Amino acid sequence: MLADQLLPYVRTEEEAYWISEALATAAQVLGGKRSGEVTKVLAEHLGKELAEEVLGYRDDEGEDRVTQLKSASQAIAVLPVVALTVAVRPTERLVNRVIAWLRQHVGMHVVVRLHYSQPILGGATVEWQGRYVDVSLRKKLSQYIEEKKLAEWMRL
Amino acid sequence: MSIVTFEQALEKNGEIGTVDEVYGSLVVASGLPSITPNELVLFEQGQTGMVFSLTQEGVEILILTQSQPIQVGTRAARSARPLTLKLSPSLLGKSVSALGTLWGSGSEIKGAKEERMIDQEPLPLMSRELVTQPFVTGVTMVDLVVPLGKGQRELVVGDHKIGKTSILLQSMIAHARRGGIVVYAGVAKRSTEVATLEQYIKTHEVDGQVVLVFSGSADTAGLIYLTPYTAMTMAEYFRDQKKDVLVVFDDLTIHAKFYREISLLARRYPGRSAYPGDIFSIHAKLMERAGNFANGSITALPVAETVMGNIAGYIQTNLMSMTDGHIYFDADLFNQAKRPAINPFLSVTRVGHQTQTSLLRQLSRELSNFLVNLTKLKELLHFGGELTDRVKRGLDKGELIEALFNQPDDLVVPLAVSGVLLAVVWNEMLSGPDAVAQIPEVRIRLIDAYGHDQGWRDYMDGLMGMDNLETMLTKVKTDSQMLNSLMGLKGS
Repeated sequence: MLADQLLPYVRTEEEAYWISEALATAAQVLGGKRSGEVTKVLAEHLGKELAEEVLGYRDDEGEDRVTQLKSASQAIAVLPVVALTVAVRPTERLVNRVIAWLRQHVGMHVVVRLHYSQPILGGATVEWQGRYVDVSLRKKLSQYIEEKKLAEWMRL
Repeated sequence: MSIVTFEQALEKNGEIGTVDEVYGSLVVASGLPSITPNELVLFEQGQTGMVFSLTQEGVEILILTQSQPIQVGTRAARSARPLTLKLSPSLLGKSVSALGTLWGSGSEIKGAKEERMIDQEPLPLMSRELVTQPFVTGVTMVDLVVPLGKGQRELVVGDHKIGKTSILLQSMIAHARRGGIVVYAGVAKRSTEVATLEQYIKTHEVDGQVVLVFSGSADTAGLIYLTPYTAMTMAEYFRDQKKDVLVVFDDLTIHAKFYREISLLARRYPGRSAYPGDIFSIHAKLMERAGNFANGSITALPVAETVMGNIAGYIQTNLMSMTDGHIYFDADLFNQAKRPAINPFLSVTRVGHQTQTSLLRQLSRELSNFLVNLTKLKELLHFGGELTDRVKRGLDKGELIEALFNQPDDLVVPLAVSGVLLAVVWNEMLSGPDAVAQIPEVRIRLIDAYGHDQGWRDYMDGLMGMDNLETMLTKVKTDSQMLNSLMGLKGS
């Protein structure tokens, strides 16, 4: 599927939204155009790199280009989201590492929603399919402080 | 209800949801995979809600407390427990919200002994007993013509501003004075109404026996919807303390309107008058929790408001079918200055008569027959025929009985006083052109004697304890000199 081909370009929820929108727009514009104009239209709406990826895609099922774009747009729009809160502003490198890890351990078809929250100090909190896991430094520290308080109280 | 914070709930249960849609006091959230119906939900900005239903699209959550409006994207956490109430005897004398917190301040009741779910199943049939004890309302007309029993569910139905609340308040005072517990549920009340009611209870010095549960008109629909259930849970708590409890729902037509609002927001299919299909069930499951039980009783007085005297309305007829009778307030009688404006012919009590003594049953039957004949007689009077002495006497007696039924809002008449006064009127001991005007004074004298003189109390209770109406009337006639002296009448 075209959507699978485009997955490396779709890492975050925001990217998924924009690429899905761009594919849908391209499909709409492409509807009435001659085949010679396809490259121009795709480059205009998807950017050069993504347009080349789309053009390079060969479909075994023989779907026309417009149908391919529409299906890909719909598939990308509903990609499941893993929400991740981190303590530092996420760099491009961090995003790539996170998405690579997630696709390896959670599933190929996930995108990430990254939040930046200084109060968690370090580590991360993860939200996935209604589950919440807190592996932040703040939690570890507060657990440590609680344990220490308890130990002191028991010593008394 | 000990509300934990959003963060605590999140850490404890490890489940999170996101609000996807907001419809006024109802929100739809995704996530929260293990959530259960009626569970308490906490939002990240401090709001609380209760699971209304679970659908394929997500969880429908009814907002209960809303410090600020909930927006799409707000996160929600499970509390992993249903909505509960903290209960203790210290509730008595307090005004509380539908969540059981103190009205106004929102702080919790101290010294909670027990915690119960608001949504309870009614006790099974095996725990129930026949209604055998009379429930005295302190309203002469009700006690004599439409008597109630402890554990009975009696609908109070009538137009707006016709005196429904007055007889409820009189019943509350009468019941509290006899040692019972009263739980009053005020649904979507204005702050001024709350203050007036609190003052009324305090003035009559029964606040130690009464719990007032309120939801304000500005509260969320969810909180208003919960109000009668909270009151019933409190009533059940006191019933289990072996108390006779009176629970008043003021009123269930407003409650039904708020439930309709919630259901329409939840896109439930609207039925008759746009009410949802389960409108009967939500009131029936409430009424079913009242009754007479082995360890105590819950007498329920739900109120339903009619429009232009139409008692065939949807909610009104629903409530009639799930209660053991109804007291109907008639606008025509109200306009004729009858107070209370109860129509004895359209009012019904299905189990009240079985709680009466033999004497009261005979008295009630005679009185009902007399009132029917009096109405027919008054209709015939329109033809302008000459009246015989017997008819004139009957009309005079009727006038006196109507005056006897006229009762000020804040006056509670003991049952024995109502019975003796009726016997006095029946025996034509009050006569002359100012007989009607004498009734209020005579009644006050009898109430005073009954309340402060043990001898008179024993005498009146003795009269009411007789088996036969004729014997009782003869006894009153025999003692007329003594009674006239008490009542300050001529001939003493």
